[in-house]
Amino acid sequence: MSGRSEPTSFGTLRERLLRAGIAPRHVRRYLRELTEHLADLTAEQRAAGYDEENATIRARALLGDDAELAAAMEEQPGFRSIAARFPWLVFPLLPLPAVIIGLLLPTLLMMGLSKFYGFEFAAPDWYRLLAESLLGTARFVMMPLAMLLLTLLVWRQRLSILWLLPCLLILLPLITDAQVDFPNAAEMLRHKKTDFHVGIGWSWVWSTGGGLDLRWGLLPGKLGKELQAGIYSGLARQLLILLPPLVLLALRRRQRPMAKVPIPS
Amino acid sequence: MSGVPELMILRLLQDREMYGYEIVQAIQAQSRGALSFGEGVVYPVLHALEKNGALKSQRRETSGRSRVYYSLTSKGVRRLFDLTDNWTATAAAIQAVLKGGLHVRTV
Repeated sequence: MSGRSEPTSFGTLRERLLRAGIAPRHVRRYLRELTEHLADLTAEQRAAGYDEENATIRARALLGDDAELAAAMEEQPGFRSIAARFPWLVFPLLPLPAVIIGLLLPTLLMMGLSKFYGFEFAAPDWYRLLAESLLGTARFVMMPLAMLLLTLLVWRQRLSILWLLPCLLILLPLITDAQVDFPNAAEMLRHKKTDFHVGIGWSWVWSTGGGLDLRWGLLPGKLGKELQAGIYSGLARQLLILLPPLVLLALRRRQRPMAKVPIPS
Repeated sequence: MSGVPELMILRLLQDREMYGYEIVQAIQAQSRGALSFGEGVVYPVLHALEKNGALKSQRRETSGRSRVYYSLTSKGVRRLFDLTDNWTATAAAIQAVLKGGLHVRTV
């Protein structure tokens, strides 16, 4: 085993640092410099006359054991990530701004293009197609995308999967809208401009016409059944688009549980 | 001893820029091997000093190897003077105690 292939030997240390809440970028930098240092130490041991195997073992011992190396990083203040320090603040607060920014960015981009090319009163077909496709896509993908990004955050920083529950509760009843309204021929004559709409809100009642129409009304009466069906169909649709990343993470954790990282003596 | 690793690193980097392995070798050479520690523990100290603005780093290729060179900033020089003053005062105080020059009468 050569010194160059050593990064894999820091797997235990990486896991320990991530679980201690050290930000992934600090962990990455630390391990890269340790790897380079280890290569220097191995070369030094080889030059001292040790064979490859002994040089590697001696170099690793000189570098320090995992417990010592981890403790040195954990003792330094300021290397823990914000999500690890304040998960109770980050996970309830992050989903909403993420979705809003995700809706605003494509809308502002299309508004800027419209202004730049002077399409405010009459837009060509390619622009109409681009604006409708982009905003239509943003409307539907922003929530699952936000959930995916938050799940990645939990996965990368080895946080508890339970921190995704507040995100799920916030995103579950969320309704997003991003649309562009082009003037028709009559409106063009009245110099009506292209309108952009961005909306966000919460509602537990969804139209029974869209999504999964489960119609499992439990309350008596037609109104009760309609209302229940609306809620169930909305919930089912939201769960279908929000749960996949969470389920994938849960399955991954099940396959590779976050067992205690062994600390070499 | 809080601040001692920082003091040694800042003092070494006052003379010239160095990468981590060089710093450790210099500490061991100048202390004649009296200080023993896992060599990798120097990096969190370097990173913390850089985060506080006392050091700056630059990755460079040297002899076909990529290395991170650390050098002192003006803030680092001030920190070095502060730590040196503190250390000198502490060392003098400890030395005085060890010499036993001051006897306190107890009742």
